[in-house]
This record gives sequence, C-alpha cells and structure tokens, in this order.
Amino acid sequence: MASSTLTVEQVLALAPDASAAAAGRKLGAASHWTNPGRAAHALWGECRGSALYQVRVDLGDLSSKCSCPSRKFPCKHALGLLVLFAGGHLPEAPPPEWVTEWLERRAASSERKEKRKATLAEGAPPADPQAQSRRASDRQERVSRGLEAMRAWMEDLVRMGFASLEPNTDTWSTQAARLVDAQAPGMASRVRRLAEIPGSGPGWPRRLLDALGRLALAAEAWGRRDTLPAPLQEDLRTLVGFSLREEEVEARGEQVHDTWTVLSHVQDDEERVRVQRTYLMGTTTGRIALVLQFAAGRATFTDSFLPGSAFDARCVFWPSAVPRRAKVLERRGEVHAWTGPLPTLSIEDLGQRFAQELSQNPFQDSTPVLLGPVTPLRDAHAHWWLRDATGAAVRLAGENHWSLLALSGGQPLEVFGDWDGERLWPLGARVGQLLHPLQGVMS
Amino acid sequence: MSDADVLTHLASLGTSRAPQADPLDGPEAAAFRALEGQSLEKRLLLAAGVRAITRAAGQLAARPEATEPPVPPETLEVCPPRVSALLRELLGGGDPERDELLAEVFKRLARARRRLPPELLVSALNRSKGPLRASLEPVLGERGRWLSRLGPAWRPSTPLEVTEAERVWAEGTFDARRTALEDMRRLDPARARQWVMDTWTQEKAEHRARFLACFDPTLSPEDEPALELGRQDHRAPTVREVARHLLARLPGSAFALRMRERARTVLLWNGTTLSVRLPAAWDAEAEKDGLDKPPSGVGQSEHWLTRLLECVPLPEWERVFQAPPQRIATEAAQTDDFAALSEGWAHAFRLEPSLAWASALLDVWSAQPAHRLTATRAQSLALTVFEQLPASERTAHSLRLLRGTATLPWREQALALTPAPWPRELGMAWLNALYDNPNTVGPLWRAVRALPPECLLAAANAPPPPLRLSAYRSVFERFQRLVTLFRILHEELNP
Repeated sequence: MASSTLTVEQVLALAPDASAAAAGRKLGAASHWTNPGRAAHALWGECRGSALYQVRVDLGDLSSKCSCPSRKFPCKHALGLLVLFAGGHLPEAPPPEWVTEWLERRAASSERKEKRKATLAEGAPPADPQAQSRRASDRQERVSRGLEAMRAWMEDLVRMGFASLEPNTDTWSTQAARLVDAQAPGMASRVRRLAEIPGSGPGWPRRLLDALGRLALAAEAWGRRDTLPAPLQEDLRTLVGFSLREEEVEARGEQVHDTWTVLSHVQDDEERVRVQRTYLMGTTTGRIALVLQFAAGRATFTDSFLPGSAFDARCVFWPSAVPRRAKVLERRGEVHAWTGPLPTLSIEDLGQRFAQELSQNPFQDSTPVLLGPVTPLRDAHAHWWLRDATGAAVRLAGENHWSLLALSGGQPLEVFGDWDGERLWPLGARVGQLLHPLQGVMS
Repeated sequence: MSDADVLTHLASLGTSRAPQADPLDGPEAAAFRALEGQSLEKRLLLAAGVRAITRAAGQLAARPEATEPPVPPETLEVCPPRVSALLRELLGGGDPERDELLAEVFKRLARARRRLPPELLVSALNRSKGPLRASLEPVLGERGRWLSRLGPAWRPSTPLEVTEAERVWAEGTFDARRTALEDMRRLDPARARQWVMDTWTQEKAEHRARFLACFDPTLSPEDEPALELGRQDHRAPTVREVARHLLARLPGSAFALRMRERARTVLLWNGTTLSVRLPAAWDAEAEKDGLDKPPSGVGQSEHWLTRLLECVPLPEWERVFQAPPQRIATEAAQTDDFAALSEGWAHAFRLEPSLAWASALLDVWSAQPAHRLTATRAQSLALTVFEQLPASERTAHSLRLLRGTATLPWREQALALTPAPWPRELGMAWLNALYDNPNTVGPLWRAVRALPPECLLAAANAPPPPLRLSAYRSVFERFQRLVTLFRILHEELNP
C-alpha cells in the first residue's frame, strides 16, 4: 500500500478539539517535517516546533506518542503526521531506533497483559475462596432486599396514582440512592432516568407505566433467577448492575473475527466519568458490537475509533442471550477507510429481528440497526420518518433531522440508528458507501 | 385522560381510588389473569411490563402521508474536499471574523461555479444570517435551495415587493420606513423621491433630515427639486445642512453654481501668491446657502471657506489661476487660512478626484509642522482624499506608504481601502511590513485575502517571526492559519 486510504477529514476526526485539528492541518505540510517515513504498521517524523519533537503513530490502532509537552491526545504533531500520511506524502523507509523501541515496548506491554490474563484464566486460586463466595452471597442478599424495597415503592406509586406525583419530587433520586446502597447500580440509574418522564409531553403516564412495568418484571425475574436460561441470567445480572472483569469476559464470551467498520462513535461528557459509545459492524458477519469505554478526568480512552474506517480484529462479546457489548481483543493490519457494501435491514426485517431478540432477552431496551434503503421525510405534523420502497415507515426520535434530510435530498440512503420498538435514534447515514456521523441530533 | 388505556388510567388515578379494573385485552390481559390472587398493584405493574415488551416487539410499520417535492438536478460541481474540510472548520469554530471569512469563501466558490456538499448545508444555513445569507445563496446548489424552502428559518429574504414596501412606508416604524426607502432608492430612485416629497410636511425635522440622507448613494441631478425643498426648510437647520451637502455634490445644481461664483471672488491669485478676501457679511441669499454663523468651535472664515471650496471641482482652480496644483497648494500653506482651505479642497474630491491635486495636497500636508496642522487633522484630511481616489491610484499610494516614501494617511486605513487582489509588489511590501511591525498592517484577514498566490507561497514559507516580536506570537499564528486557508482556496478553486 503506497498511500493511506484514510482521508484528511477522517484523521482530523481524531482531534480532541477544533484548535488541535486546525494546528494538525497546518502541520500536515512536508515543510514542517524532518525525516518522516512509514513502514508496515508505523509512521514517524520529527516536527520542528519550539523544539524538535519526535512523533510516532501505530497504524494498527492509530495510537500515537510524541515528545512534546502537550496534554492533548493525540497532539497536533501526531495529527499533522497523520494528515501528511493521508495525503500520501510519506516515503517507505526502515524505522529509526526510537520508533522500533517504542513499537517493541508496546508489543511487550500487551504481551505482559496477556500473560497476566492467562495466569488469571488458568485459575490462579483466589486469595480466599471462602471469603469471596461469602462476599458474593452477601451481595446477592443485599440486591434482593433492595429490589424488594423497589417493588414496594413502585406499588405505592401506582396505589397513590401518577396524578398525585408532585412536580420536582425527589422520590426518584431517593429511591435510586437506596438501590446504590443495595449494590444494584444498574437499576439505580434506570430509576434515576424515570425522573425525566413525568410532564415530558403527551402520553407520559403511559411511558412512565411502561418503564415501571419493565423494572417490575426485572425485579420479579430476580426473585426466580435460578429458573432462567444461563445467558439470560447474565443479562439480568448486567441489568441489575453486576459487572464482569475483562478476564471473565475474555474467558467466557463469544469471540468473533471479522473486518469491523466503525458506524458510530459518540462521546458523552456530561457525567463525571466520560463515556464513549462506539458501534462496530462486522462487514462479513453483519454482527453489531457496542464498545463502551470509560475515562475519568483527563485520562484518555484506550482505543481510538474513526467513523467510516475499518480494521481486522478479533472481538469478544459479553456473555448474553443477545450478545451486544464487546471489546476489541486483537487487531491485525492497519486501519483503513471502508467504502464497501454493508448488510442492511428493511423495516419489516427490523421488526422481526427485534421481536426475535426480545424473545431471547426481554430486558433489552433497544437494538442497533443499519436500515436501508430508506428515505427521510417530514409529515404535516412536523414528525420525522424513515420510509422504505414499500411505503412502510418508522418514526425518528427527536425533532431536528435536517442534516439527514440534506444528506438524502429526497433520495434513499442507509441509516444507522438505535431502535427501541417505537422510535429510531439516528446515529449515522451512509450515502454512496460513505458514512456521515449524525452527532448532536439527540436534543 | 379519557383516551388513555385501562392500565394507564388505573395507574394515573391510583389503585386505591379505582379498585375495580376494567376488562383488558391483548397480552396484558393474559398476564393480568395469570397473576390472579396477587395484589392489584403487582398485577398492574407486571401486566404493564409485559405490554411494553410485546408492544416493542410487535410494532407495526406506519404509513405516513408525506412527500417532499423532488430536488431538480444539480448544475454546479460540488466543492473540492479540502475546501469542504476548511468550511466545516470555519462553520464549527469561533473565528472572530468568521462571517467575513465565510462570505469570502462563498464568493470564491460562486466564482468557481461550485456548490456546498450536502453534509454542510444545515450548518451553513443555520449560521448565515443577515448579509451572509445573500452570499450563501449562489453556492447552495439545487439541494440547498430545496432544503431552505422546507426549513422555516432558512427561507431567503424575498426581493422587495413594491406594494409591501409602499405599505411599510405608509405604516411602518421610522427604522422600517427608512430601510424601505433605502431599498426603494436602489430599485426606483424616482419613486422613492416622490415618497419623500409627498409626505414632506408631515414628517418630523429629524426624520426629514435622515430621509434626505438616504439619497446619497444614488444621487442624481433629478434629485435637485427635492433637495431644494430641503435647502429652503425654514424650520430645521439640520435638514438644510443635509440638503446643501448633497446639492454641493451636483456640480450643475443652481446652488453649486452660486457657490462657485462666490468662491471665485474669495480666493485670489496674482500669479505668484494666493490670498483670501472674505466679505464682512454675506447677503441674505448667501446666508441661506449656508454662509451663516459658524457652529461653536469653528472660526468664521474657516466655516465660510470650507463651505465654498467643497462646491468647486479642483481642476477649476487650475483653469482659473493658470497654475499647477503643486504651486497653488504650496502657496496656500503660506496663508493663515491653510487649514480651512485644506478642508474645503479635501471635500471637493467628492466632486471630481484629481491625481495631481491629491499628490500636491498630501505632500504639503505631510510637510506641515504640528502647530500649523495637527497630525490627527492631517490624517483625516488625507483619508478623505484617499477614499475618493481611483483604485489603481489607491494601490500605488499604499505601496508608497508601506515603503515609507509617503506617510499620509495611516497604512492600515489605506490598506483597508485598497482593492483586492493586490499586485505582487504590494503584497511583498506588506509581508515585509508585517515582519517589521505587526501593529501597523491592519486587519490580517483582509490583507491575506488580498495577497496574490505568489505572496501566499512566500508567506507560507516565511520563517518564524524575529524574537523581538515574540509578543505577537498569536498574530503570527493567526496569520499562518489564514495563509493556509487562502492557499487552499486558491489551489482548489483556481485550476
């Protein structure tokens, strides 16, 4: 491969902010660089700034290292090098020592991680198996009591009636806090989200009752969890808020090897812990994987993902009746742009698939889908829809889909989004095999 | 809540108030029955959960009735990817001169017959308010125009409708009326003039003055009767002032002819020296023409001289005196009335610009010591002249200013008035000046916009600024950003 298939726009999407992008674009001119080069899997170059900075990029996952003092990641020098690469301006060359050293260190550290995991997987005996199982049964007991209390609280709500709910009541946060105490953080965050429903527009009592009903089912299921199929037990535990250690996921989860393309990559900065939600689609299997990454404070995310790009990798899915959450286990080859076809669903297929998934895992709220070909449109009530060639349509969630309409121009396209059985949240659109992220439409 | 289903109705009201559950159907009914014997609240919640899940699983596709009109085929090429990337950055960023830069990019795209890519249409439409909206129009393409007709906030401002404008003129607020008048002056100056004359006696003095002032950009000899109405306005000195100012710009007007006649009796040339001879008082008619008492802070003779001289085209003095401007100006500098003469002559450039007079006056002004002519006064006089010079002469003079062979007016003001693109020589001189003293070269984006391509290349390869200018680091960073931007525009849009 003489030049990259990544475009300048794609690599600039890695920029942490607009000023880094602008600076990266500027540094993407050959005149700023001394001895830049590329080899299999790596780019490097020295960039003259206030000093001479050594910049290196691993093409396997686009991670980078630079000797500059910037706290931004990637820094403008790494971005500049990627821009230079995207423009096809890097000569093939043997990497200098300071690059090979870095690559070796990276390989060694990932090997160390592997070894640590292997030791764990081989079942190095836990420090105190008795204490551990005692802790586990203690937690089960607390969760059970917490869910029982939640059930009583919900029954009170419907006994008194929604009509008597005070506006701005703190009943939600109080109940959520109790669930946190009961070590059921997953249920706690669901209860906290209930607070948004009352008064949120026509039909809110029905939506509130739906949400309470689902929580009641989960609490009911918890009481007889031993009778559920094993994969569904995993889903219920996840819903309640039990988390799996990554080694457990790797040991027990389903592993899928494919060329994965990045369909959507959204960062949520509102909480104290930043969350990145990335949807990958296997270009041959059609499997959709959700990669969740968390970072606190200034910490950076381990994996970089570029919407519209693709990479070969083995992914492992969290054990589930309908596996969805996954992590990238091992990448192979370089990140490249993806302009090939992708498996899409019709609107009818979507209904069937979600029904099928819900029959396996009724605790699932929504399902990600690449719909197509569909045409966005707005009806006389200013409601937005996606309609396919048969005339069947699904409602879009939210009120502002002008970007989607602009991309379509009245012509069919492919839309990637999250379907909850009633509305679809669009996350990206594919026009002529090119992906356009639709961020910020979630108003 | 009458249209709510049975379960929602029950939950809203509260099971304690409505203990009787109405009959149900669907999967929730099965769940409800299966839970017979449990508490009503528990049955209600679980049945609702079952219903929520079965509904999500069994959602039937809707068939909405709506079709947007089709988009006509595009006639313009989409803009090159590098320019799209630039635009995306500009649209999303907070550049202090974003609107001006966007207008420039749109203008160049329009000239290259390109349109915006679909993915940028929404943010371009959202950010283009006011005057920018008009520059956006030609680069929207068919898809953008289609979109802007659908989005309520994006419709282009409709061209002036005469009946609507008449209504605004008759009923609107003062500001709306003045805008309508300005628009109508551009479209149909005669109709606009008739509007003003028809309502003349009913308007407040201040409004009369400001309406007349709207005539300025499209002034023509046909406006003389309306301006005469203003000149003879007994009630309001400000109205008379505006009217005289405009009449002076019409060399053939009766007013201008009278003033020129008087000027020739005041300014005298004996072949070698210039002298000023003002009467002790003017007759009543001259007083009505503005040769009246000066406003406070202005001397009597200065007031009269300025008013007279601004009505006389400059070449007329060469003809009358049979002497070159250089000599007349030099001699004028010897008189006590030099400041007043300068003021009058500077304003006479509005009637007819003269290169010979411009260079004569600028030379003499820059040679004056401060007690004869203050620096501020000299600047403002020079700028008045510079504004009226033809484009090529403004370019030539800006070059002299950058090279230091001329000092008036200030560089940044002159450069702002020098039309783009600049010739190579001027561009290089500007770059040198930037590295010399970044403070005196005017708004960066305007200058970079005006630089010719070979100067952009030179600018891109320019070394970092000298150490003594490190305080201007942010200026140079912005300069480099702008150079990158305009280089990309040039490379992509001028094949």
